[in-house]
Amino acid sequence: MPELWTFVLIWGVWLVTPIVIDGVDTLLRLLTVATAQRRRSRLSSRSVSDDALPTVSLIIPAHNEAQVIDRCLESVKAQDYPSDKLQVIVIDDGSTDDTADRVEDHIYNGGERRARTPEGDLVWANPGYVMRGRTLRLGKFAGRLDLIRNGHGGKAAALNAGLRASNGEILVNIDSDVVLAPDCVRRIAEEFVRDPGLGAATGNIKIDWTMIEARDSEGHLRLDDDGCIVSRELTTLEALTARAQFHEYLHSFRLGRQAQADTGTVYTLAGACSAFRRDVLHDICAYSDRTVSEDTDLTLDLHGRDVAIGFAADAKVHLEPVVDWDALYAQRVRWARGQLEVCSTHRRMVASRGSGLLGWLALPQMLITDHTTAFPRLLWTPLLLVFPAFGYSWGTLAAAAVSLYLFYLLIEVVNTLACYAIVDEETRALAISTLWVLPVMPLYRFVVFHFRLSGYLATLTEPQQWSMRGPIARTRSGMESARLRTVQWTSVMGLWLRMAGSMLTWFLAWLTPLLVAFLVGGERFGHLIRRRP
Amino acid sequence: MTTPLWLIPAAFIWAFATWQTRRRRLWLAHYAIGAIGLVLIGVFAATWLGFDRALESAEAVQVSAIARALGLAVSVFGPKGIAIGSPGGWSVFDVGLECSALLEALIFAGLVGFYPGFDTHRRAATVAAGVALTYVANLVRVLVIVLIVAQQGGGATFVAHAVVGRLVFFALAISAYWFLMTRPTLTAVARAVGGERDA
Repeated sequence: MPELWTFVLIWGVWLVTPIVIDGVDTLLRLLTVATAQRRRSRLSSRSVSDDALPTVSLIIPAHNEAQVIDRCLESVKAQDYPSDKLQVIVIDDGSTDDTADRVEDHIYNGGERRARTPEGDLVWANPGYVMRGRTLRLGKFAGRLDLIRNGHGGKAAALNAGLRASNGEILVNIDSDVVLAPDCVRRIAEEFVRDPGLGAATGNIKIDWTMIEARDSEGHLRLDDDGCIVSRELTTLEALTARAQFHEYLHSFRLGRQAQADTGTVYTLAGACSAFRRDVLHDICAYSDRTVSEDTDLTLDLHGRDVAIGFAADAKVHLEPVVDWDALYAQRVRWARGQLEVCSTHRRMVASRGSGLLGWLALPQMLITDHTTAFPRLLWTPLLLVFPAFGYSWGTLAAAAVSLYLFYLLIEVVNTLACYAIVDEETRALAISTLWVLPVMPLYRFVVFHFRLSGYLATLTEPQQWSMRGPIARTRSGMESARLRTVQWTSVMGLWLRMAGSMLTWFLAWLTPLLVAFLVGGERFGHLIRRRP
Repeated sequence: MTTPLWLIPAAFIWAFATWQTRRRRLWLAHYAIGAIGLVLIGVFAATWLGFDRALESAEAVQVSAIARALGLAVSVFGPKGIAIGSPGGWSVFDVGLECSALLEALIFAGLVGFYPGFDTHRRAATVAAGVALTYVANLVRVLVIVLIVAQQGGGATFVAHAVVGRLVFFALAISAYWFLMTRPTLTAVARAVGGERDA
């Protein structure tokens, strides 16, 4: 045991890192959320009548989202918000698929979708949308839905086009692949009514794997016997990944964003759902396309102008998990790149007392956790395997690794328990039913940590681009390339061998008759040769 | 220590793997292989050449000199030990590999040496500065241990070494990484993105 403690603590400069940084961060977050919970409960219990609700413009940029735009629009049309106070604008960012056509279908024809019945028939149907395994059908939409075709100028340009076309007092930007809970817009609006000082707020993003729709070989929706959308069956790995992301987002939003909102240090208004008072955003004027994270960029701009930013915990936005690991890699690389680019363009705020708690504490803490200490951690993990060469036993090594794993598992358990105490019944039930994934969370976060690190390196080495090839695709491509090279090399070698064989055959073909002639009539040949001068 | 001939082919394999991963733009693999390989080759080469023992001796001598200048009853004991006088008697603290800053300095050199954000000149300057700061941070750590033991006696060695000294070193090392890696990265990325926003 003394050897264990010696190893864990004396060698623990980088074991100290997670304990001090991650452990302290978790404690602070929990304390913040716990102390502010009572005040929040009082505020959120005050009801707001329809007359007091502001006008809202819902802005939805979309680029090649034909597969998902229908369910997004159906959830928007299902909002229990006064239709005369709701304006919905979809901005088509130069899609090359049917995105714009689908939106127009919703505007003019009610948005029916082609779907395959269990009997195999292809029908037009209005099956509604899936949320938490339930199919929600809608009535007639009385609100206003507009489409703007904006060319392919990028997400920032699309959002700006939507802002220019909007007329609501509250502007809500959402991604086109989300599904809003029926009361989402109302909950967001209520936050702004209850808190007149609030300038912007982010919604509560929740991972929902039941949103992944099952499709037939032609890409049509599949319906069950009741005409409801069938959710796709996930593989074991996909199910595990989905549930890991559920917990990841649960901790990140319900605890992380809440703590940030309580301390005035929200540094990313989620692109999936963010809301602003009109005058705040028009004062800033525009999203910028200088970075790949226009949402974070805008958030720090708002902080620079002392805009109060909150978290609408009751405004639930459902998001499909990223279950493909290459896509997950691309997403996390983009996030890491965006984080670094935005901090760089706002680096005067970093460690600056003039920027409040965000500047002198939150941003440096985020950079130290995500960037500064990430690089030594990258090395210390594999270097632990070399310690036996310096006299430490494998048993001690294993004990230290298990200690670290148990520490991170403890963080997951504590965070989940804290969320359980403050979330609604439905989320509680989900958290309980997915507890089995908690032992895998430290491994999941370990892999995602490397994805982010890859993103930081890519920021310095690769040009700005929306998507990067993931490790699985690269490995497959590399192996295929190696296979082709081997085949090619084998073919070349084979060609040389065949050529050599042909030459040998040709040589033997000429030599053999001479040899035979020599052997049969050798004496005469020899005599002829000898007689030559 | 017997001559580690395996270091030579290992170095070739490492160089080849580093070159190939860079050529294929596998940045994380390039960075990890490059930095880890440099650390391992550096540690084994240093122990083979006896550089680690020289470093440990130097640390012991320098810490003893500083502690004596601060009025403490401290002297060098043996090749790399520090004898510390305290109210409860004498304690001997041995400067080993884990207290010599060799590993941490090599790690810093590896992390900066293969970091893509710097040009050659900046990289060399940052490595030099970082290695020096790591050495100084380690001197401070050992000095803190000596101070605590001198005040509290030999019974406090474990806490001084394993907790306080480690935390002091951690704080100084992270500061070095912050100022020598993270902040210059922000500047480099800002230049690439196109400058700073008025915020």
